[in-house]
Amino acid sequence: MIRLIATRIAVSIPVLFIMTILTFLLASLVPGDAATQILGPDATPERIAQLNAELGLDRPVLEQYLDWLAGIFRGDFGTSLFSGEPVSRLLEQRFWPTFWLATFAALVSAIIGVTFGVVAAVKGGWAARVLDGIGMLGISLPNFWVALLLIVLFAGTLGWLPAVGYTAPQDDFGEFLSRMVLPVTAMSFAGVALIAKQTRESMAEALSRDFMRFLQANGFPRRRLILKYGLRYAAIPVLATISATFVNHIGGTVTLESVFAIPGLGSMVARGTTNHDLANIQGAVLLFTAVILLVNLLTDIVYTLLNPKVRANA
Amino acid sequence: MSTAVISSTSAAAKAPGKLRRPSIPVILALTWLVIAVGGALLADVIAPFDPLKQEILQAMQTPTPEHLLGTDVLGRDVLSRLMHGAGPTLSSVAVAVVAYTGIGLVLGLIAGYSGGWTDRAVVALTSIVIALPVIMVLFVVLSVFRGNTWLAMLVFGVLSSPIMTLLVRSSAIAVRNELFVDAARVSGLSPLYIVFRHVLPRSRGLIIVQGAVFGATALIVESSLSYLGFGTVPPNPSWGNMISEASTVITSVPWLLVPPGAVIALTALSLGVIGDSLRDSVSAGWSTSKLTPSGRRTEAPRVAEAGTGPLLAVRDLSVGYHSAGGIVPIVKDVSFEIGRGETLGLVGESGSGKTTVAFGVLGVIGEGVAVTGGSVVFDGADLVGQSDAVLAQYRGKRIAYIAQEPMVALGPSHRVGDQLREAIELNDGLSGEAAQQRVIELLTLVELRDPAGSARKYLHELSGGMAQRVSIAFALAGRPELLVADEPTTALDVTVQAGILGLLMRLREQTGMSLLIITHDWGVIADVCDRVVVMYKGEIVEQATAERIFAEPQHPYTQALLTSNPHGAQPGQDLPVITGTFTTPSMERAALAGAGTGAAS
Repeated sequence: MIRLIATRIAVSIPVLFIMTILTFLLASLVPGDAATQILGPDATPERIAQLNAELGLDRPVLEQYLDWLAGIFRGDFGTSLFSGEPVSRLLEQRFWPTFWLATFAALVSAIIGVTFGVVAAVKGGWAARVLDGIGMLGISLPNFWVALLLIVLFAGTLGWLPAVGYTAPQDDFGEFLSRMVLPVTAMSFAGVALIAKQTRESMAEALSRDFMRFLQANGFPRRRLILKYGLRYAAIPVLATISATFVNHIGGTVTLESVFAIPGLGSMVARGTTNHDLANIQGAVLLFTAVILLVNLLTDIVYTLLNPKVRANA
Repeated sequence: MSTAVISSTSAAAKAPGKLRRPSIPVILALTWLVIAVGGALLADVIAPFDPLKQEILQAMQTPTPEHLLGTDVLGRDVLSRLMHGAGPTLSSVAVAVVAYTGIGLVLGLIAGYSGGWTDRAVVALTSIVIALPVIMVLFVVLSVFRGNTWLAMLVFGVLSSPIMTLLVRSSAIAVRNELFVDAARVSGLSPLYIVFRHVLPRSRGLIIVQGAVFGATALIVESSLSYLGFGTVPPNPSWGNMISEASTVITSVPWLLVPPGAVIALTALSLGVIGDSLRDSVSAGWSTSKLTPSGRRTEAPRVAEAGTGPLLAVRDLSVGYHSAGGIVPIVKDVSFEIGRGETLGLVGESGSGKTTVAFGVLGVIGEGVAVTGGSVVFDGADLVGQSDAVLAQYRGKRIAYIAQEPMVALGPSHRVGDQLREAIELNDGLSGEAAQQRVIELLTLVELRDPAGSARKYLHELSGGMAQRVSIAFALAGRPELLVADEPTTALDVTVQAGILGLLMRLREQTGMSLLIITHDWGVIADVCDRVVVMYKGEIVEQATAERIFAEPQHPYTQALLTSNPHGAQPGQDLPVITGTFTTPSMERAALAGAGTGAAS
């Protein structure tokens, strides 16, 4: 168990470093420089050189990289080239909207997906075919398009929900929830489809095991066999899919936060990409990477706890 | 932004060389893809309008005969823009797919076929790349190389390729270990030749499936990037930026969202359908459930007074499974009785239907199989077709079951003691401390050496003999009147068999329960059974007391079965085998009926 966690962390650290190096290497390839971007094409060369020096951009890339890396260990992610704000403060402010969006979407996908999958596995036949159809649709619809259609229908035509924007839960919880409904729904489509498919497959396999018959013949009720023994048997692959869904959702926040004007990390990445604000992107991407690695680590730990064979060996 | 569905049956290992004839959805999907690609290629020729030509007076129209899909904010023809937008969209998807399959194929084949350190290096590399947040890297790339969607999609294909690499690798490993590849290697064919001639064709199905599914994902990613403004630069159209333009006027003309979204969805759906249909033909198909659905009857009709008559009376029981050509019988008109305290042996070859009879008695025949006629009367009540609620009074409480394969009889993820306690709580009405005590009591009763230690173990930690003892403890939990034992010793070592059989006999003495033992072992019959039922091809050909069956077997099949008993074999002589076919009761009846009609005419 401890060895497994150690291995996982040992793989995670290089991944984080690769990401930091990657962002810096790419940045050094930029045609033109940030000062020109900020000041515009009409700026004098002196002014550009001055700004580059102010920003520390005239130094060698390696030196900048090491500086930036040292800063991260002090919690300093640099300064946004455009707004001049410290990136660490931006990350702090923007973490929570994204966290809520991705977490709610993962929860909703997991609950609905597992329920659909179990029903399809147990009922079989037409229920399974309908689910297959919904599943295919779920992964074929672009989430931002679904989001726009939801806005047209629920915010426009029906007027039930606010179209865009974000309210922090501590400010107004009801408002927070009502503004989360549409983005979470749009984001969950693909997740529900994937989780349902995996659950159906794993559950069908669980039901085909001999122990199902043995336990049923010896008086175990069907419901308990499905919900306790079946789900437990299917748990590991289903959890892997839920964890993968969460990671996918993190990628999805970039588009959906832009659609719904949510001030999170995703829209920070999207805007940083448009504005060429590398400090912002580097910070946000690093934070996203860390979160993804953490989720993977947690998933691995849960696996180990769920699988008696692995647990015995670890 | 999708992930592969994890299947316990590895699609890689079963990738077929041959592809089946396409189904209707697949034909529709292919048709759409041809239309989309054709429209993109011929856009310059067949598009009705210039995609950039603005006609402000005709802006934001819903479909008209002139503009089949309407016009956009600036009065440009939507259909023409869709056709011209398909090019950039589909070509960057193609870039991603080619990178994904190409890299995955090359690395996967190299790693899987050569093995050793090359394999380890490739696996190590893929495990690091898989951990990278791919979408985030794309944004970094796009922030540096502005508007270069092709490069972004190339990076997307490259960074996603480890999934393909690992799948191809496992497929290559599976093929490498096959005999004909060994033979090719030994006969000196070059590795390159073997890979192209033997390994690659086996991976073809896998490549198409993965390529199509990844294509759908890449299309969604490309449209997202394009929607966010990192793709084709307006006024030039792409499917994604058309949605983006439509989103500015969703309150006034929501229609404009429909055409570009629908073509993206249709294309992704088509790719998905093609991939999925192949995947289904690749994987072995659905396993059937061993869990029996509830019957419809909610009240057990009393056909006789309880307490009188035999404990179990099976009358004309027929079981069959549904197939395209109607019901295929497995068991035909089986009738027998078991008295209180009696032990009945059900003997026959594999495939004679004896296990199906046992499942019919227990009411656990599984899904897809059905009792097509007859009754199973237990203590005066017919159990056939009863609901779970009725059967709950019998299963485990009055009729219990032990299976042939003890190592797969219990759930693998719960401690055996916990499962046994559950059985006790369900069937014996005990709970808490009393139930826990009963666990130890039962495990002691089945003569396990370390009852408390065994209770804490998982099934995979037990030996076959120990697991069968636990199964017996399980069956005893509800103090049943009838125990159905399906070949209880077949899967065990010879040395363990006698121990289990002896235990069953001692338990029968102590509890006075009846036993239905399914076996093909005459030794078991001789040791424990009062009466014997002989089955052949789903029918009973003979039943008699154990003594009589050994002394005077009546039916030719019984005689043949007895002769082939290895216990009576002479050293140095070949074991006798059963040859030819025998008549069953239904065949005799049919012959008689035929003779009858023949005589009448």
